[in-house]
Formats: sequence, structure tokens, C-alpha cells
Amino acid sequence: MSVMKFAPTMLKQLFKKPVTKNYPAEPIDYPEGSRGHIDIDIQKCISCGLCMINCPSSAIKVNKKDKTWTINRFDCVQCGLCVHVCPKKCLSLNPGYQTPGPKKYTYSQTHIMTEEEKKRAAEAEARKQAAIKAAMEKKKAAAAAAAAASAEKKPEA
Amino acid sequence: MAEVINAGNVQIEVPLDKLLMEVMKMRDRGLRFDQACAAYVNEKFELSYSFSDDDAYRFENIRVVIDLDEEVPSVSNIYPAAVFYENEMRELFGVRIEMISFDLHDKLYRLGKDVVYPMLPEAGKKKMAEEMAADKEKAEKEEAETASSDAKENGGEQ
Amino acid sequence: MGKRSVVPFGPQHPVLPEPIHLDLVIEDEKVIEAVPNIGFIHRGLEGLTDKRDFKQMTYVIERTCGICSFGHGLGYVETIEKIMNAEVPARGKYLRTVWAELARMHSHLLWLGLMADAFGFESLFYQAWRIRERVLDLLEMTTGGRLIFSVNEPGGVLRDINSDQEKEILKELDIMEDEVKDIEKTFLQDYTVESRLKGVGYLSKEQVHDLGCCGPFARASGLSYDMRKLGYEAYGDLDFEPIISTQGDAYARCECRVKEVFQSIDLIRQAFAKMPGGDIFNPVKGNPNGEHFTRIEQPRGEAIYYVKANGTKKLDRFRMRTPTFANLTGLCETLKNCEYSDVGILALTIDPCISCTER
Repeated sequence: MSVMKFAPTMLKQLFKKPVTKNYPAEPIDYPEGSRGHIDIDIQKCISCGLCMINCPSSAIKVNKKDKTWTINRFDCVQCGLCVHVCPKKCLSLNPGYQTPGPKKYTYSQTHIMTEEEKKRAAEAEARKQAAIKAAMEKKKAAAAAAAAASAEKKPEA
Repeated sequence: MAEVINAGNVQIEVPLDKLLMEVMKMRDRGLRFDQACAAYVNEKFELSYSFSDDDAYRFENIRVVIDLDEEVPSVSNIYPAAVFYENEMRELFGVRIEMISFDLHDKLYRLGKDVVYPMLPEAGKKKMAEEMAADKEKAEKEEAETASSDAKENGGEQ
Repeated sequence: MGKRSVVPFGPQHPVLPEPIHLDLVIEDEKVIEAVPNIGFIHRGLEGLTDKRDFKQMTYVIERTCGICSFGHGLGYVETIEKIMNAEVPARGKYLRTVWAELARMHSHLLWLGLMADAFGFESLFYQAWRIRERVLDLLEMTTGGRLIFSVNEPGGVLRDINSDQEKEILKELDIMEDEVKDIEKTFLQDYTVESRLKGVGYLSKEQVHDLGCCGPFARASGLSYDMRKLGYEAYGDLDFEPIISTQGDAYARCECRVKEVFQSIDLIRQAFAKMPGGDIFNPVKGNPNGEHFTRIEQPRGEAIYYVKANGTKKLDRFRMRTPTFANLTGLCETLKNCEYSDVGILALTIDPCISCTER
């Protein structure tokens, strides 16, 4: 008989627990590996900016000078491309979503340099300055040589 | 193990005036209409008409390369399935397709009133305007010439 | 002859999950003609190719639509791989197949729920969506996302399914099979459902062929046209036959989709039984240069992806022909000479996905 086909399903449902959760009272448990939000281990970050270049929704901003890493969590689409391209693997996708609030909010982290890094940065800066200086001197010397050469050529002509 | 059908992509490039003939051939062979799309490449439109086989899943493609201001005959009288693709090409890219059997008059996509050809890049729009202006000039010149020749003829008669 | 009038249907309507507008020309209670209007949610995603590079486009394209998300990502990366001659590791192919079938299950269960809602069977709608929730949980467990997975990348997949997760999936599949069998009885044998759906919106095999329809909509009319037979990803190794029905009415379309849920369950089991080990990702180098058309079978039907690349990071043209766009002609045909009260059900039988259609 083709009537009352739904009755068994309905009766079964009577003796089962509800499938929904009593949400605000019971917390949600996200499975491991759920795409919720991006976290950063800022001390590992080298401010290369690859995450900023690759982000499809332009949510990430990296300031190389101040060594800050900023994300607008509501622009982020949780695609995980930044995590995939990060050369130092300092980014991670973790469960839990950004909750809404009354104000505009961006999450920002600043890389604080250790003594060793400061020393290395100072050395690099010194090297850079030295290189610039050397290049300038080389240029000057070349210019002088060229001037001398043209001066030499003139009498011949 | 299931039987796997290997279907390669076949593509033929035809001039615009042969398009309808090639499409007729496809219909005579019993192929179904799969899709039609336009692409703006190197200041020209590339139109692709794709057909496929119901049983062998063979995929065949007809490619037509046209100038931005050329008029394209509609294939919708041969394949009724083509109407929406052609309407779409005309609305989003500005391909001038004539005589669509189910013409929606640029109302398939309900876009903003000031939006013109949203998928055509700015450079393409500029180029199209230039070509249109050139066409118009040419047409006007021809008209003027015919008018003047007409006047001469008339003058001769008088 | 009665008086003709035009009744607007949509863009907001209880049976429509997304906005589409139909101008129905009506004579008495009969629909004479239907003129569709789309474009309410046109976002120009195809045009984004000149702003985003080809790797970012994977993620943009996945976000075209929530239900067909995995299919779009799959079709796009397949096209890029074909152009770049990249080889995907065997395990990557099997994983993609598993996720594609899970996505098909959740799409069909969503549709069954919506259909039940459209003919006024609220509690059946809840039952279908309750089962769908299990699929979504499985997807969240394995990929991290409930609807948008972002696991595809040109060259392979980014996440693996470990043995614990595999066991969990197989266990859940057994439970789901029983549950879908329960509601299948209601969908296919119940008197009220039968009398509402049988004989509504008939299309013959020839009509479906001429109108270029695809997917379960075409298979319900007896056209055996399933892109999975092309053997992309791991489908070549799996054993299945396209599910067809010959009645060609709304009931047949419902039947096809219910049976495809079971087919998907079967395919996932086969894929797990044959799944090889090894790598899942094989990074691609360089930029694509060339063009290619790819066809894949999405839950709603055959989708065509076209990429034209020029050797730089940015693509010249990306195009997707989605199944709903192909089925629009079929929809207009079924609506001719139908009762006005059937329009809602018939608009649903093509499984409209308007976000995909307008991109």
C-alpha cells in the first residue's frame, strides 16, 4: 500500500534524541583541522610579504619596515593559501570563527626583534651602507677616468 | 571495471561566412549543442561554439575570430539551445549577433542601467568605439558619394 | 480563448533558494510562455582573471557557489593541469573523487529537501536535511570546510584522509544508507508525492537532446549522458553506470536524484577500497600557456570549463558553462502548457543554482 509510507520514519523519530544542539548552552565542538581563522607565530615571521601578495581577498597586510602583520578577519575567506605559501610555516589555520562586534577590528601582530636579530640587522645595514659607499666611489672613479680619457682624446683630435 | 570513453578535444577554425554551414554539418551529424562563448583576445573576439556526441562523448569546437564590429549570424535557428548563450555573449561582451530566434533585447541579465558590456575590458570598449566610429564614417562617406552620384545622375537626366 | 496576462514569478519566491525572474504569459490557468531573466547576482567572477593570478583564481572560482564549490575547483584545476601537462599523484585523484561524490550527496540531499518543501511536505524536508548534516560533518572533518573546501590546487590536493577518518566515513555511510532508504520510500512510493509529481513537466529524449540539457534533468528523460564516463580523476577505475529513467517527468527527476545518492555511496566505498598510498601533491612550476576545454559532471549536470592562458601569471579568459545555464532552455520548454500551480515545482526540477549561472 502506498499510503502512510512516512509513518515509520516519523515514529522512529519520536524515540530518538534531537539531532540539533541546544547551542548557546552547549558549546560547539569544531573538528580538528576546521578552517576557522588564521593565526601567526610572529617570532618566526620574516616579513617576506608572500602571504600579502598571494591572498585572494587582500585581507593580509604586511609592513616590512615595522615588521607588522595585520589581517582583517572579515575580509579573510579561510582559503589557506597563505598557510600553503608561507616559507617559514609560521601561519596556521585554526578552528573557531571571529565573533562579530560593535567596532571595526583588525588583528595585528608586531615582530619584536631579539638581540641576535638586531645585531644581524645592524650588520646587514652596515654591509649595505658599505656597498652603497663602494658603489658610489666606483662610480666617481669611473667618471674621473672617463673625464681623463676624454681630456686625453681632445688634443689628438 | 567500467568502460572508459576517451574523448579528445577537436577544434576547427573557420571564417565567419562558413560558420552557419559548419554548424549545419554538426546538426546533420546529430551532435548536441554544448556551449558558446566569446573571449576578447588581442583586440579581437574569439567565438567558440562547442558540440558533443551523446554516445561517444566526443567534443568538437568551432572557433571563429572576428573584428569587434563584425556582425555574426545567429545559430539559434539551427540549434534552439543556443539562444541564451547568444543573448549572453551580446549582453556581456557586445558581440553583434543578429537574428536570434528568441531575442531578449539585452534583458537576460538584469544589470544596472549604466552598465555596458561588463565583461569587455576597458581597452576593448575603446577599440570597439573606434571601429564603430570608423564604420559610421565610412558609411556616411558612401552615403554622401551615392547621394552625390545620384544628384549627378539626376542632373544628367534634367 | 481566454484573456492573456503576464505574471511575474520571482526573483523572491518561497520555492526559490536564489533569485531568478520568470515572466509567465498566462491564459486562464495555463502558462503559454516563460521568459527568464537572470543577472540579479552577477558578480563578474570570470572577469577577475585580469586582477588575480591563476593560483588565486582557484579559490575565487570555488567561491562562485556554495553547493557546487568542489566541482568548480576541480574543473578549473583539471583544466590548468591539462594545459601545463602536470601529473596528479594517484592518491590525489582518488581523494578528489571521494570529495566530489560526498559533494554530490550533499547537493542531492539538499535538493530533495527543497523539493519536499516545494510540494508542501515539511517534515520530509527536515529528514532530508538531517541526513545532509552528516555529510557536511564528514566534509568538515576531512577538509576543514562545510561547503567550501579549498583543498584543490593545480598539481594535487592539500589535505589527506587518514585511516581513522576513512573508518569514520565508511561507518557514517552505512548509517546514511539506511536513513536514505527510509526517506526513499516516501519520495518514490508515497501516494501523495506520486500524485503531485507524476506526469508533470514531461520532456522526451529528443527534446532534451535538442535543447542541450544535461545532468539528472536529461537522464530522467532517458538520455544516458554522464561526464563521469569520461574517466577523469579516478572515475575510470570505478565501476558504475549512469542512472537513467525513461518517464521524463518531475517524478523521474526525483527518482534519478534519489538513486544517485546511493550510487555516490557505492562509488565512495569503491574508491576507498582501491585507494593507493603515496603522495597527494605534486607542485606545478611555471605559468600555463595554451587553451583547453574540460568537462566534468557536477551534481547538477555537465559543467564546461574553458581556460585560455598566454604564458603569464594572469589568464586571458576563463569561462565556465554551468549546468543550470544549459538547463534554462529545458525549463522554458517544460513550463509551456503547464498549470500555473506547477511552476514552482518545475522551476525546482532543474535544480537551479543561480549563483553558478550568473557567476
